[in-house]
Amino acid sequence: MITTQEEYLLIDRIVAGEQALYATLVNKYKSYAYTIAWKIVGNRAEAEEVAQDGFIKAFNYLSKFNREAKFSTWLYRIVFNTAISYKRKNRVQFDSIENSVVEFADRADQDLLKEDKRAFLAKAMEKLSDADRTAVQLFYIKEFSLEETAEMMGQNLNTLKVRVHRARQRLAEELKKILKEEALTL
Amino acid sequence: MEKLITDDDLLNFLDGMGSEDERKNFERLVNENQVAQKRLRELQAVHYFLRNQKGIEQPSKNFTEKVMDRLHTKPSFTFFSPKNGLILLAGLLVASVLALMLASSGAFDQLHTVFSFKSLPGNTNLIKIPTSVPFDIKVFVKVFVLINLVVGFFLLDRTILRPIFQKRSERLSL
Repeated sequence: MITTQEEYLLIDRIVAGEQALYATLVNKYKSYAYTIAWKIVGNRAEAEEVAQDGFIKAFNYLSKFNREAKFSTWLYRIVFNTAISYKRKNRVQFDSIENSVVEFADRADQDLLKEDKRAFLAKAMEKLSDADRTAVQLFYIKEFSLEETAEMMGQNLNTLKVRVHRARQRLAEELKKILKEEALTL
Repeated sequence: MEKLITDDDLLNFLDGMGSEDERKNFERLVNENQVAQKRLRELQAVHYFLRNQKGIEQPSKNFTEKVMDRLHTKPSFTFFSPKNGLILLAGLLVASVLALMLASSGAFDQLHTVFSFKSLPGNTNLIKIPTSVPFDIKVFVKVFVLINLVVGFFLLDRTILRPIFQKRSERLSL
């Protein structure tokens, strides 16, 4: 485990030309960077490419890293922005939740399995705005503090809190609409 | 009278905020309020769903090698995809050709005016401003076409030519 100071020294050496050392930083942060990308684009192959692009962008701008924030936060923000712009360009039209309700209302037993409910909630997540969904997903990755998540997303703490609360309220509403009383037994 | 319990109060409770005493007190309030109990269960369902989602994901085993191999290439996602670039380029060309055709057919010959500043308030002795400025729409069209061409060349370079030459040089270097 390297300390922040050691990390800064490492960055200095990479900027000075020892580019192979960048692999140390990639190794250290790849899981989190990949997770952020995956939470946003929702596809493993694309998330991998987005995360790699994030690392490449970070490498190209490494000399401009001013150390006001932690390197990890700065890197995750680049990955976050890369993923958001990728998602915007490749927006997939998801089936509306209303259609799903009709589909399941036709089922005679009405006894929905937990997996079905989870699938419904996953679909409900797609109805949230990118920023709200990402905020709530990152909030539930316990390794990221609320402050770090806010910085990563380029938002202030209160805005992030509002986003997380709003996203959960919206999900609860969607869940109510979709499953009515079934939601309570999830 | 029942105390109003908001969604924010319930979410803060689910997030584990507040001291032990405050939480116990809040729990008691919720237990006395059926509407709040129902809402808490709804929010709890969402809370558990989100909490049980997968945490940290692992990328492929050769992720680091791939990044290191690609360090000196441009990121694959540029601002304009080739498709979007082509559409925009075609739009710019159509607009420019239309503007030039209209201009050459004399459609704008009669369209000129003079902007007069005589009625503007203020002491004109202090600041020298022209009393009028002639405005010819043909000049405006020419500037429009020129800007379109500059943007068009930029798009042509960024979305079509550069990716082609980059791919060719990558192929040659393999």
